[in-house]
Amino acid sequence: MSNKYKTPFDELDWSEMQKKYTDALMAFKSPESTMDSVWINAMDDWWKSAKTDMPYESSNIFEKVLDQCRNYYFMSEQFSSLLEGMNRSKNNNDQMTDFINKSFKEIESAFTSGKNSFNLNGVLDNFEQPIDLMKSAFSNSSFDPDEILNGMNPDLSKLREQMLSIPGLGYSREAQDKSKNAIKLWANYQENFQEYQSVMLRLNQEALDLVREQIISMSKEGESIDSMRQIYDLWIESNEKVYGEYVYTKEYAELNGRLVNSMMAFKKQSHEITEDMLSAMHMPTTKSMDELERRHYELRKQVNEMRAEINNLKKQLQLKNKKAVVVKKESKPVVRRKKKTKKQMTANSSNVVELKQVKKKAENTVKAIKKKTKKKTKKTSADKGMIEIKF
Amino acid sequence: MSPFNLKPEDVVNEIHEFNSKLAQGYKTLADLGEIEVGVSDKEAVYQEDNLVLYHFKSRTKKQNSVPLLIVYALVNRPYMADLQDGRSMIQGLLDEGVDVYLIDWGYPVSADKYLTLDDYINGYIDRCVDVICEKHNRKKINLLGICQGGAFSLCYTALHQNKVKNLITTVTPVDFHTKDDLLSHMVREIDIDQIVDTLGNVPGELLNATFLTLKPYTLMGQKYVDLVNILDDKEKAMNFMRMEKWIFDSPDLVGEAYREFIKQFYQENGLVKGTVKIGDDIVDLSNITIPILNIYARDDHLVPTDASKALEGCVSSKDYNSLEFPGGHIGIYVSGKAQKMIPPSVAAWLEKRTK
Repeated sequence: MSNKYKTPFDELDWSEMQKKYTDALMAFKSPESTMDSVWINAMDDWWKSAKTDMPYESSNIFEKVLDQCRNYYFMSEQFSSLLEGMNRSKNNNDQMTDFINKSFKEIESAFTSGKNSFNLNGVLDNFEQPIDLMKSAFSNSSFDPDEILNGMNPDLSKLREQMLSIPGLGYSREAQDKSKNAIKLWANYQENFQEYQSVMLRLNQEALDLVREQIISMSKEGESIDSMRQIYDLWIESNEKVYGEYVYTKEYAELNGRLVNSMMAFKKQSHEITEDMLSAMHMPTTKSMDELERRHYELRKQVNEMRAEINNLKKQLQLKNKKAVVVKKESKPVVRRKKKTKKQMTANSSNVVELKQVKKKAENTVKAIKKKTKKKTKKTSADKGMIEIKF
Repeated sequence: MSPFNLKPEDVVNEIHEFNSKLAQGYKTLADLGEIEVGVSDKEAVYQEDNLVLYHFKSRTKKQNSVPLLIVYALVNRPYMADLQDGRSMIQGLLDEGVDVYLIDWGYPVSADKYLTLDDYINGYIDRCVDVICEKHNRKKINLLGICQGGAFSLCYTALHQNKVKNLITTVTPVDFHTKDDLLSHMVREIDIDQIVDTLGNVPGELLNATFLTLKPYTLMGQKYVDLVNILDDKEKAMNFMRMEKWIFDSPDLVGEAYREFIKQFYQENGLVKGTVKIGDDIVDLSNITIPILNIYARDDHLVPTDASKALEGCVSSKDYNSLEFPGGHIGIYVSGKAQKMIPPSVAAWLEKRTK
């Protein structure tokens, strides 16, 4: 370890200290102290002291690792008692199955009852379930609904609906309506969130059942489990399998849709309330920024279009010049003879082919005028005695 | 018979061993320092707004005369294609004599939120293609799209085929309504208009959360317990940290482009149906007649193989080839197996069609 990160804790053999601590506690055989709480507490205390010396990126990762270690310790503790009992019940398959079923009921209740501060929701939290991630993703603006509506009982939805349906009064009635609508939307989101959580809880229980079934099946087929890590992996795989099957259902797509849509609806309403407050204080609002950004976008688009048009014209011009040079070389003697005309027509050094056509047209026009004028001159000169002009 | 070949003291010993590795891991992580990504030498040849077009420095004397432009997705960062020495698709392509360009979309800001797919495909990509064509005095270049960048490349080719000589798509979704497309299934009932109208640009964290929830227990749990076992090896720990950095390095998604992409591609499956509208033009994949190499990953959990394979039935190219990689969505760019398979295959395919 480099000197940069050297701390007094570097010299401490944490795992050795922890082993001694565990041994001492086990010697006491305290009924209140469980293995996982010992491991978790020791780890947490050590991490509190050590994390300040770790670079942010590494510290962030290490936090995630420790979160998973907590789950691992928790699982180890739960399955330790199962192991102890199974070792006692030896070879009878029926007895074994009964024992596994009974033990899993205890394990399940440990997961769901909050024992050792680790209930199933706690485990889910450590896995950062979708809703938690979405909550953090959406929590970058407006007021925090958790703070203002904390404790609202969703069972009182009827009463809530009635209360929130009372029309607003007086000068600020629009603002009142918006606030009430925000509360309705929040309650709707809360209901969806609770439904989502209960579904996730059900899936986790199903996964635990799957672990139990697999252990029974292994017991019957004479397969062995040689480490706690194997049980942990089995638990992960079972969760993934149960979750994976459920998320492909229409029910999940609809639940997920309701959850995200209700969250967004609330978010949008709360934005509007914040905007109104800012506007009343003559502060810049997101709406005004949006308008500026939209105009800016339109301008950028116009600039790009004009730039493309200019480039296109430049290319066309270059192409014409190239063609002109080629034709110029090819028709050199002709051009020399009609120098005067060429100068007039190619002031911008343009196309000689075009020039030829124009010249020809001009000559034809001149001939036509001559013809016409001759006739006219004959007539008029004879009648009016004017001098005949010859071209 | 008990399946447990374990005694309680074995459990205690196992946990202590795990803890020792964890303690060692702390030291390794504290010593790692800055996580560097991107290995190949490159220079910026064009810049516009947040976009940078990079040209990679050649690593061979002989090069394929037609340059290759890599179009990356708007999600995550393009250094995944050039992660580290020996684990870089771009390095592999350079070693095979391919002249490589790459579009880096950068990190969009709030002012970019009105950019549409038209701005990306007929604007940014088209201008990058023009820059490369002009630089090499060519009318056509080769195009390689990655994931969503592959879908963009398909749209671009359908609309500007006169500028594309050969097209390579990698892990590219074409049919967004295959049975096993979980991502598509998850967004089917979501009100995209409401998300964009509320948030403007869509936070990168939200996208990340969506990807992680495809396999939450493995990607957010087991992965970190596995990490403890490799933390005594500094090199392996560094490899892990590079990937971790890439996974969570998620730029926000431009609101309007997100709205159009999710609605037209994911919800309406417009690429297959021929209803995707980019600007004023409808994208008709059957217009594509140039040679295509479609590379997909057998174990892809983000873009199922069927979603990619559908391309063959949509285009009119007579010279259509496909290549299945035995791995996942990310492994196709960074795994050791991929280094041996993908760049040589791409280079050989291009070489044959460049003469």
